[in-house]
Amino acid sequence: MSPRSPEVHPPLGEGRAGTAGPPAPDHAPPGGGSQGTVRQAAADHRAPGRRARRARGRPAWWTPERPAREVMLALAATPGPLPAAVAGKLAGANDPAELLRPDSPEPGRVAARLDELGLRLLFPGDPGWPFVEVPPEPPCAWLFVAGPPPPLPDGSVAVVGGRRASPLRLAVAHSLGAGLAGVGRCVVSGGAVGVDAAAHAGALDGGGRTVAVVGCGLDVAYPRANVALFRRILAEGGTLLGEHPPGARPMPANFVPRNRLIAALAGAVVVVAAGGRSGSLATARAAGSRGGGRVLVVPGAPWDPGALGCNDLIREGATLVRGLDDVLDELGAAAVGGGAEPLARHRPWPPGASRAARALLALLVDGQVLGSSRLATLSGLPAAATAAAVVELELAGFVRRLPGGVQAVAVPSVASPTRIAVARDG
Amino acid sequence: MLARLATAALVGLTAYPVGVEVDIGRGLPAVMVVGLGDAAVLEARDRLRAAFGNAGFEWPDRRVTISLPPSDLPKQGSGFDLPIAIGLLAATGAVPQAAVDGLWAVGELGLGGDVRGVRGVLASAIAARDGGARLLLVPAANLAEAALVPGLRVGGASSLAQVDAFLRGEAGLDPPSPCLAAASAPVEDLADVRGQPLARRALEIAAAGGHNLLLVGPPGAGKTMLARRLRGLLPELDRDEALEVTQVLSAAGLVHPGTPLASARPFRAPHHGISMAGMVGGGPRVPRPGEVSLAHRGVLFLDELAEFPRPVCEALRQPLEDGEVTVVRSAASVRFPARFSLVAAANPCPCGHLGDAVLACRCGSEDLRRYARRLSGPLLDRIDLCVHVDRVTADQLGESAGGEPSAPVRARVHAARALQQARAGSENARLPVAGLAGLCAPTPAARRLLAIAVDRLGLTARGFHRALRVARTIADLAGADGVADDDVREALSLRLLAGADQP
Repeated sequence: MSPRSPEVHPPLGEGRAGTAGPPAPDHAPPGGGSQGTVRQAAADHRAPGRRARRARGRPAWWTPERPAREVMLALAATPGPLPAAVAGKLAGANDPAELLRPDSPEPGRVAARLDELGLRLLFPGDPGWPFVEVPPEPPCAWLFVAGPPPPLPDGSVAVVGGRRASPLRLAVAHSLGAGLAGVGRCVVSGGAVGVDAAAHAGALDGGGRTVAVVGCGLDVAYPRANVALFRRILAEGGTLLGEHPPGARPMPANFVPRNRLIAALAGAVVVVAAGGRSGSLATARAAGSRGGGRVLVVPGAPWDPGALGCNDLIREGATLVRGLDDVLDELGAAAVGGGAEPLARHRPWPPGASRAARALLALLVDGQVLGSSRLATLSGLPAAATAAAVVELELAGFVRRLPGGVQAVAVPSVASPTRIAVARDG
Repeated sequence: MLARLATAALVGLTAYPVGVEVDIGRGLPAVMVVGLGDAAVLEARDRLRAAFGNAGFEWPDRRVTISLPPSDLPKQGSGFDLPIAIGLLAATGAVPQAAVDGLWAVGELGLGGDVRGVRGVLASAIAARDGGARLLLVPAANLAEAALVPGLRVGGASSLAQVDAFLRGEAGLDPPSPCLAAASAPVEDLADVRGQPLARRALEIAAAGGHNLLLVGPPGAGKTMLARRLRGLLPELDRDEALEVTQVLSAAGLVHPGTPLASARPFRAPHHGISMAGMVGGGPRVPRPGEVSLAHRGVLFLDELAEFPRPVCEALRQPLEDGEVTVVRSAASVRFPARFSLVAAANPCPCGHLGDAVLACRCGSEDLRRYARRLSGPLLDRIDLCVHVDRVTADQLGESAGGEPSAPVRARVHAARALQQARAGSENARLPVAGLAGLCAPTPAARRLLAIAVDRLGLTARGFHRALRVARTIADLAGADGVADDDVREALSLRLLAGADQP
């Protein structure tokens, strides 16, 4: 674990985290005369259609004598265009100065603002630039980084999945994160709620480091529910990074390009939960198409809507993951055997567990929410017995009640000769 | 010449005796009404003049002074038309003064001289009996209602001419018909409900223990259908309760003319756009009963609980606690009875499909949190039971046989209520916290289970007491002396979800 660097502030200001609405884009240097630019940029983020009408041309500060790095700094901080698209044009041998816009901020101000936020901007070839062997596709031209630079992809594993995964799958993400941390691997994931957050939390709980790749400015508190997690990642020596300049809002179009970075930052991608249209599929396919990237998938039942995408990936040739050992196996690392964290959260059956409770839990193992009347109908148990069995399961920590019904949060451990699950009673 | 008789003024649910004094004296032709009447009372003089003319009576072209003592009692509505008209007839000498001595009358006059029904006649009849009336004259439309009060002679009239003829001794009044109560109308039966085993069970428990119930389920799952069936599970209204219900309906003007006595428990389902005055009672100067009182002794159903304005929900706390509601307006402060069973319904999430087997929920976690906060509003600490109502599947709809009908359920509810009355003299939902454990008598296993629940489910003190009361009701339904651990388990499965219990 790298030591905590005192000069790096968490990019999410205290005042921000407490306010109700989404934070206003605010990346102009204080006192500067470019408030109009900021507003224009915000409008630009909201309505891409306006981009076509904006005046093209170089900013007022530009002179041919400006060093190339300064021009790149201004380009990276230019609000509006998708960084991946700009990087594609740069790779197509466009002159960076040609891509500047009239509202591209002055490089000195950009540097001052980055210092103020405790961020660094990395360019290809800089020390700490992660994409040395296999670059992402489309390429990446710069990275805004909070915390230490990310480790090289070989040592990292991406753990990704949907925002609305079932609690059982979240538990899988958590235990994989913890298990990977336990064998010294860095966990890479997005900054979303759900599987991303569970994987980061697992890795941190396991004493490891994590890299969160976000789809907005690093100073933008999004998603709000993860603000505390981001602070913790930085405090424990992890990294937040992204291509978007400070103040950039989390536009939907940002996330698929973000996923290619996740894939490129890790030697393998483990997809824990992906519905039919999950963004995790983009991550996995980016990893698969990149060459060296390996795709591992936690499978699901064919009828489980939270696993449609997972099963598709397995059909397409991804490696099926039953547990941490399968991931380590794929990475060529030594399997840790029976001492590994179990994949799902297991609990031992309490002594004297009723048959009714067992019958109900068997109906819930896909992780879906089932109304209690439906549980009674499906199990054939009388209403009173169903109700009592739900509470028995709840008290034993296997299910939780939601406004819409009952959902499993853990599965009972089944002791077998080959794999002895570690029972953790809470 | 001065004529005197009596009538009654309705304030809230109670009618107070009011004198009617009509004096015809010297002076320019004019009609003065004194004695704190509202606009409708003042309009009486215009209606009277037209009614007199059209019914063929002579209008006295002299100075007419009408007083309605006591002057400090607020008087509303058009029920004073008939007594004033009778007073005028007596003051002009058209009818003998002896005929109006001890006479009470209420009723509105149409411009053609017809006598129209008014609200609150039941209360007026009670006031007339208590005031020692010789006869109460009411509109024919209200006759059956007035006749509900024993020990009072009542007569109905449908026109001013009939009243005049009666007072001159030339004709009779309509006598009250002997049939007072409607044959108990069929209420919705549980046999119509397909599936929903847990929701049925929750309804039974709610009916047995007087617990308030929250139904959570997707739109179209049958929450309203279930709520409607609760009143069929409650015991039939006894005579006193029926009179209470009728009195509220009478004050609201909702009594059925032919069969005035309420036979079924009321079911009220106000829309969530309802105002505060509509819910708890109100109106200008003198309040009228609101939905909580119209649901007295019956069921108040709040569909889409989260959509009800917070102040309206807050205002339900007093009636839920005390069984009555006090409404204060400029002219009067009125207490209305409001002892009802509350059934609330809510969608599980803003889109309504969380946990739905058919349609996927599209709410984000932040939406869910916000919704849970809105739902866990002021009312939830008055609700003991919460149950999921699932969408009924197609094969369940196709089942020819419905579920258990209401009658056997009602019998079990009756037996459980009898046990409660014998034990504590009140329904379980109203057992006081002090001595609750003693009354509920949990077995050692049930005690242990409750302790575990406090530990693992984060049960609050209030949740603990609530679970104990509900478990007591469940044990009463089984006819058991002590509360067993399975009773507690079932009670816990029906507990409310805390707002924080969200993904």
